[in-house]
Amino acid sequence: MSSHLISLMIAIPFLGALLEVVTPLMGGRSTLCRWIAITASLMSSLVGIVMVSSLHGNQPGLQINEVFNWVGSYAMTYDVGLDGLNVLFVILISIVFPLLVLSEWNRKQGAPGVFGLFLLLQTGFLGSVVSQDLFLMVFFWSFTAVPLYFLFAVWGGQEREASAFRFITMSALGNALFLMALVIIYFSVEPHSFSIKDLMGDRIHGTFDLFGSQVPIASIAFLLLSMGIACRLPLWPFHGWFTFQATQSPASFFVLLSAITAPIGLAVFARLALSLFPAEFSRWSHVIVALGAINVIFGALMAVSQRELRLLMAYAAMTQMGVVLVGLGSRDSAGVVGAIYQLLVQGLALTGFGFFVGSVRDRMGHSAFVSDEGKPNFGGWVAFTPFLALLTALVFAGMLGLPGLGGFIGQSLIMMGSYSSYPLPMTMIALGVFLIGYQFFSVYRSIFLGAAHGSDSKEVFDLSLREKSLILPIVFCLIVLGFFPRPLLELVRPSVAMVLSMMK
Amino acid sequence: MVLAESIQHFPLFVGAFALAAALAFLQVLGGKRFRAFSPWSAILGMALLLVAACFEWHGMWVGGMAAFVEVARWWQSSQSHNEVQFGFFIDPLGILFVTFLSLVTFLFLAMSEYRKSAPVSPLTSAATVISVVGVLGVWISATIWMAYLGLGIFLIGQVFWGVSQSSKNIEESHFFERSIREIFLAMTLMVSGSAIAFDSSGYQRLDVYKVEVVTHALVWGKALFLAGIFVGFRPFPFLGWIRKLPPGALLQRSFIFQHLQGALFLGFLVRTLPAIEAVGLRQVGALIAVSLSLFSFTIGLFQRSVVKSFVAWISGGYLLVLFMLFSTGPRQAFLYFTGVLLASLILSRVVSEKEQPGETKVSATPIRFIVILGSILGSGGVCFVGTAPLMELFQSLQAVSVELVLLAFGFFLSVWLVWKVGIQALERSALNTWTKGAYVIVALWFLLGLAVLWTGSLSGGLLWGDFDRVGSAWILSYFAGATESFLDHPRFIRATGYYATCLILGIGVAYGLRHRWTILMARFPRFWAWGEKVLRLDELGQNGLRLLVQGAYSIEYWLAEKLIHFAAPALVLKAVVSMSRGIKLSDIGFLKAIDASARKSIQFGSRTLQAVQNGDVQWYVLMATASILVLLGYYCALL
Repeated sequence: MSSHLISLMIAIPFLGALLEVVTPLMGGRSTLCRWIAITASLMSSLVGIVMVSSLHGNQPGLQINEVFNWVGSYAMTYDVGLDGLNVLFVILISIVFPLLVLSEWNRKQGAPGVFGLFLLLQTGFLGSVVSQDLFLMVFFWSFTAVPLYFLFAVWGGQEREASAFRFITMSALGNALFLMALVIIYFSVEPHSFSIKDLMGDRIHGTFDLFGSQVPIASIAFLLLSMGIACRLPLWPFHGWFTFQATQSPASFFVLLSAITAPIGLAVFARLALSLFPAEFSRWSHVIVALGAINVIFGALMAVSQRELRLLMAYAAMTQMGVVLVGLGSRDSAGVVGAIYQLLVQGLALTGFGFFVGSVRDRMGHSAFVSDEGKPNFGGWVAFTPFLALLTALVFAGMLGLPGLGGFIGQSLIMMGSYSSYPLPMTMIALGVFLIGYQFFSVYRSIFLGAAHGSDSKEVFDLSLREKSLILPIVFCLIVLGFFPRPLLELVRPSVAMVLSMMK
Repeated sequence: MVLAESIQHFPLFVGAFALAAALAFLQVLGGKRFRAFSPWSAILGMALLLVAACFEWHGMWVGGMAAFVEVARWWQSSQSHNEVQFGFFIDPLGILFVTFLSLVTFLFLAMSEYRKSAPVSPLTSAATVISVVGVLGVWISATIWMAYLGLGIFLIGQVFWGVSQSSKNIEESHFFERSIREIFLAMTLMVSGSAIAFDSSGYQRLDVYKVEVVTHALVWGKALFLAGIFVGFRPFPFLGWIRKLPPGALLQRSFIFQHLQGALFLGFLVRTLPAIEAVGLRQVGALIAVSLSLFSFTIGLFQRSVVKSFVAWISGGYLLVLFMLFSTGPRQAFLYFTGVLLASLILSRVVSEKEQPGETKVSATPIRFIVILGSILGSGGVCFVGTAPLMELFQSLQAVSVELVLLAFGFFLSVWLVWKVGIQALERSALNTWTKGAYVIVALWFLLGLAVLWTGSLSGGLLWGDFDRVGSAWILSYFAGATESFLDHPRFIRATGYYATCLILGIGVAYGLRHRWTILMARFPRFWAWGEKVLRLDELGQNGLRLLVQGAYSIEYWLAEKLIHFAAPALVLKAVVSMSRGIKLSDIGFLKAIDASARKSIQFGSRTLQAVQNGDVQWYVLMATASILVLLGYYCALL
């Protein structure tokens, strides 16, 4: 398999984005922009899926790798590769981004801008997950904040400027911390290097004199890295920007945050923390797990009180991030493999949820399912939208981890792996999942069941062909991931075993 | 233990399940053409299952009744220590249960077809079939993880049912939401327990369960698993749904949400009983089951509505099934389960609230006959399938034991309640009307409930010496290690005494108090209201959750919104702005100072030179002479 395919996968969306810029200048209409966007996105996804299908299970390490010198004097290399730790996220991006383009298909105003930014984001996220050079990784990761800012600032809700400002402030802070960590790592290793392969294991040595006490440089770097990534994730208590963004951005844009940015962020954290800082990760694992458990319970409790679908989605995403953190922090093969698998599943499930929210907003103009007085705003939709009801039920089931769907595999593995070291957080996962389920069932009942009210058949219509083509692939993937997890788990497991062996 | 990478031979059941489920889905998604065949396509699905069962039965008989087991890796490969396996385990018990449940469902769907005035919607019949496929999937699973797939399929069936019924009114939607929520809670507990107790040694097969070391994790895991199973049966304190039971569709509702659900969780428990026993939870489970049954029966007695009493009786009946399973074993539990299931199917037709218009009206005498027989069947009366397990249970318990007292009391309450229901149903002015087809199906159900069919004994084992045996107890061969033998005579007499006393007393009290309920309710209104309010325990949980949520909300508001997004930025921004202003001022001052110094120094030089350049010639001559002397001196130094 040609290693240049990785660069092709990253470059195609970027070229598409350039075309999006040029097309309006050449008099092209929004129709052309749409087709450019979907073609570029699909081509990149196709290349990604082809590469993933060529990988062999039971092989740790990079299976496809492309390296060339970038800025040799500063040890910056263009080093990208696929292994078990990032393959699932290539799949996630390859599936979700074409669907996102399709979700905005009918956009008339600003289509080139939106599609161009989507394609830039696809490039950025792909680059983040496949980078094997720290500098390159930071470059791509930081880069993704810019298109997101413009999406939120230009096409958001009434308070879009404020929400975009909050987002970019937190992102800038996070990116700055990440960059500081990068610089510290670079200078603490001899010879200086940004290559993850060279930095793997506890290679970061030395101490730093901080007010008379010798603090290991690795600890400082790990802390900066963790906080840098945490600033861009929905982690309690720094999640306010995230929930604010949920109320301001369109559903498809929020999918970018909850279903893509958050999983990719945790994937980047997992790769760097486990590979570069095994000792530090072990030392701080109880903090990571505690933070995860708090997120689970807090997110679940907040979700139970929500009346708006977008906020429910935000808190559900927060809960799932917490579950994954517990899995990662368990340092057990089952827990870490389950966490990575769960990131893929939750990315897909949250995408499906986002499309459901978008469908509701398209029909009703809002997504508040309960009024401020506590009465349901609409109900009995199953009579008008049976297909939407069925697919939504399956998406909810995927998020809750019902057997037969991908979430069951991920959650079970996480619970298996985390109980022996952290029984209480594991119990909190079960409690959090139940609470989220409590609210999901309530939402489903209030929207789809009962006698129809608050809406009539003219406003509420079943899924169109385009909408079906958005949600059906998600549901199909969730079912396949629930019944046939082995091929993907066998890709992930050897790489996880390799990084965990460094910890021991 | 060498495991296959994939299943090589799929049992015929899998194909039958898939076809039945496909037919069910086609009813719903296949358009009007397929919907017109509902529920016959569902009935066809059940028929396919029966055919598959016959083939499997034949195959097993040819193979000497040896179980078929095939297990393969599911989630990960052999190099992983946490591989999860899946596979099929088809033993005589599994085939028996598949056959029995398929037959009962077949008859149930056929009976529904005869209710022309209240036809079953395609979604409802699809829901029934899919739920049955899920239940049977649990019974033929080789590992617990595979069994969870059956649970998942069952849940899809429940969603279909919920969608079919819930569009009618809000009560139906609330009922559905509550049901699905409780089964989800059960599932969460069970999966958590399985994950905790996950044994990485590879012994996941349910047919050869082996515990080498009883660890703390194993005990807690199995305890959670068992708690989940209990929740799945929806005993007290999860009986609150009875209070808001929607009217109508009693037969379908109880079939899916009580009978099929009970069969599902019974399957889990039967298959994992060795594991429960290995960690010492068997006796605990028995005590909990019988205690909860007492609550369920008592709550049923307090209900004014016959329908609510009836569903409470079903709930309590299945808890007695659990008690029987823990105390004596799967055979007795299966027989008692059969009795409760068949009796409740028969009595549902009578207990349904409304008279069904449009059906042929028949004399009340056959109905009375059916109700009486149905009540005898439900109370484990003589000649019916419930007699034998009760007798064996009474014999097996110690003479002076808490379990015996609880069982006796529970059996008495069960008999009282089912007869109360039967009598109340008969005395209502609206009689259910029956079609001839319904009669045939009810007769078949009665036939299935006869003790002689299962045990070969006419009375069901009530006679010492087995004088009434007319056939072999073929059922024994379907339960591994089962033997049927009478214990010593004193135990038998004691058991008969308990059985007869509780039965006669229960019937007598039900009959004697039949007209006195209203008097009792009027005389003890508070006590009666308390009995009904016992069901409101679940509201405590909901209020507690509400308080917790409000607390979390206020913490979130103060911490995330006020502190992080207002106070923290305010403090940080103020500091930064102050610092910025300070730097700006000092920067400006510094620049001004530099500017002033430079200006002054330049001005000093220029004033000095200006002073020299004042127009006097002698100063010019003096400057010129001094300059020449300096130059001469420099060159002399050089030389």
